[in-house]
Amino acid sequence: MWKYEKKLQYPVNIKNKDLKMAKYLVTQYGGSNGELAAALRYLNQRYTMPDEKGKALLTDIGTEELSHVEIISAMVYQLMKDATPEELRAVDMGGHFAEHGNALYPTDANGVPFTVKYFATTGDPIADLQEDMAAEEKARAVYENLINLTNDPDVIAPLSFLRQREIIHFQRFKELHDEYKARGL
Amino acid sequence: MYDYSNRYDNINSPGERKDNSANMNDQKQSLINSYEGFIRGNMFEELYKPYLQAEPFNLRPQTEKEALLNRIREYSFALVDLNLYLDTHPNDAEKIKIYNQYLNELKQITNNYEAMFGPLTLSSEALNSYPWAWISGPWPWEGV
Repeated sequence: MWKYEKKLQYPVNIKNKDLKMAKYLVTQYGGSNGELAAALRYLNQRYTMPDEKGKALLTDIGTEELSHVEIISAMVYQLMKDATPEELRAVDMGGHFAEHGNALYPTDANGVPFTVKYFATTGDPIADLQEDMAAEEKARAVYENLINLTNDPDVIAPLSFLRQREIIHFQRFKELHDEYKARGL
Repeated sequence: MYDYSNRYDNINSPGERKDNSANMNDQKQSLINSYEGFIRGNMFEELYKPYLQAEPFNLRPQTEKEALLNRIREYSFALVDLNLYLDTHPNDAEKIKIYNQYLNELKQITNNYEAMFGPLTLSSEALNSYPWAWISGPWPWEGV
């Protein structure tokens, strides 16, 4: 089971509203390389990992990704806080307002809703871990793209933290992958 | 407000034990101190790869509550990152020892925080109060 902790893993205190950045950033919530896809990917793949290390690692990284969903959601919420319909319309988010008002909704940066087609489970630990390693690299690349789209240190600081987590997750998945390969799995 | 400079400075000095488990990754992975690790998002010196050589952002808490919460985040983060390492290196006794040191620090600082500012989990002793303390904001996404 999971337990809620009433804190973010990394602090988010964004002082300046930036609707365009909210629109881009939401992709790390509901886009193909986003945190929600990552959490669901690992938490679905964990059941068919072949040993204790694998079951632990997929459970633990999947759990950390849930806390990253919360960080990205908090950033989008704060960037959009108190936005008026006129302001949303001005940045081409009138469609979002029509469907969702000021609520959060997992989409990519172009407004395409989240879908589980963004991840796979094959039951083959090598195939799944290679997808996981690629997913971490793609998420890292998207964080770099997002960092290049803003000058606001309140936004860059959590993005830099999250980017670094992709590097660590890649390393751990690679360690597991290489060990399984060596064992002929 | 807090001196982070000397904590765990020596945890990787001589005698860092090599993991003998079956994995092929024998890259050195030495721990840095928990504050620096937290602001980097990475506790391992050799794995740290900043983007565009950017320096990590120092935390600038505005209140005692925020400063204490940042220390909770710092120790929690050290545990998260050490746990992922230990998942793939379960025989590294030195890192298991460090994990448990951070766990003790986290328990102490969490008790202090919750006594002053309310529960962070539904297992907190701070819930033995009236009215029901869990619902008190601000909630995490609302900023500090």
